[in-house]
Amino acid sequence: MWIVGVLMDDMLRVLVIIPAYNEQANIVQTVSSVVEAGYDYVVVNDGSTDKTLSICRQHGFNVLDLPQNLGIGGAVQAGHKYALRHDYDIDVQVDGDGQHDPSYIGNLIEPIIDGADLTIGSRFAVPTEGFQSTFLRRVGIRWLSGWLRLFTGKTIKDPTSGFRACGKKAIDLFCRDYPDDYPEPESIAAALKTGLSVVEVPVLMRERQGGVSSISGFSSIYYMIKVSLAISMACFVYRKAAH
Amino acid sequence: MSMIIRVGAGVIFSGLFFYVVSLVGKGKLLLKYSLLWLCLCVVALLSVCFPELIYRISGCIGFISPSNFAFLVAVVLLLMISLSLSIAISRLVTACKNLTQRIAILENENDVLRNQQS
Repeated sequence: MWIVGVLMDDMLRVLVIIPAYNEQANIVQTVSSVVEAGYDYVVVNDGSTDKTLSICRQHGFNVLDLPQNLGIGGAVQAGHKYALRHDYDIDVQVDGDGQHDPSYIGNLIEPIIDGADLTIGSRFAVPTEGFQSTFLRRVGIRWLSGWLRLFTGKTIKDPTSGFRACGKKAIDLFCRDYPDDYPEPESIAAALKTGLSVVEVPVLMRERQGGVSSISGFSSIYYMIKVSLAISMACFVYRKAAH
Repeated sequence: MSMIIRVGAGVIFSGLFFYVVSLVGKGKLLLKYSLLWLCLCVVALLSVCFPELIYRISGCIGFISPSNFAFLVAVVLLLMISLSLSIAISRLVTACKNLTQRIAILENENDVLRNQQS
C-alpha cells in the first residue's frame, strides 16, 4: 500500500495550499509539517497585518502575497489558480492555523487518485474523536449538512471543513468561480450540481493552536443565513448552467 | 401644481441634468452610469413642463392622487439606480479580486526567476 502511494505521488503532482491571514504564531509549524510530509506547497498570505509575510520570507517559504485582503475564499482561489497555472493534478487545502494534520493528506488524495473530484476531511465521520468544535457550532454544522442534503440529495456530515482536496475538474471549477467568504459549504453544492463526485474522508482535527476563528457572535448569524442562501442559490444557478 | 413649485423643480432638474452632462464631459462619470440619471432628469422635467400628462396617466391607471403616481415613478427610478450601482460594485469586486490574485501569482514567479538568476 505504501509503495503504491509513493508511485502514485511520483505520477501525480500534489500541491498543498496554505491560506494564512495573521498566522504568525502557527505558520512555520504548519509549513514545516507539510514539507516533512513531502508535498509541494504554497502559502497564500491574505494581506496579513502581522508578521506572517516577513516570517515566510525569512524562512524562504514559497509565498503568494495578495496585496489586498480578499477573505478566505479569494485566498484559496488564488491557490487553485496557482495549481492550475503550474499544472498540478491535485491540490489540498490545509489551513494555516494548525487545525489540520498533514499526516491525513494521503487519506484525502487517495479517493481522488481513484477518480473522485473533491474530498472533504470530516471530523464527524468517526464519532467522538479529536476536536469536535463547540455545541452551538455542531448545531450549525448539522443544519448546513441537512440543508445541503435537501438541495443536493447528498449527505456531507462536515460541510464546513476547510481540510479538502481537489482533483483537476474541481480545480477548474473553483478557478472559474469560488465564493468570497465562508466558501466551503457553497462550493460543495456547486461541485455536486456540476456533476463532480464528492467524498468524505474521516480525519482528526486539532483545536486551533493560535489566532481566532473568523466566525463568532453576530457574524455567526450572518454566516448561517448567507451560507444557507448561497447553497440554494448555487443549486439554482448551476442547474441552469448545466442545461 | 403651483407655478413656484414648477419653476423651482424645473430649475433643480435642469441643473442636475447639465451637472451630470458636465461630469461625463470631464470624465468623472462614465456615460454608461449617467444614463439612468439623465433618464430621471428627463422624466422629472417632462412632468414639470406638462403636468396634465401626469394627471391623465395617473388617472387612467387609477391613482387617487397624481402625487402618489409621481412618488412611485421616482422610487422606481431610484431603485433602478441603486441596483445598477450594486451591479457595478460587484463587477469591480470581481475584477479587483482577479487582479489581486494575478499580481500575487506573477510576483511569485518573478521572485522564483530572480532567485534562479542570482
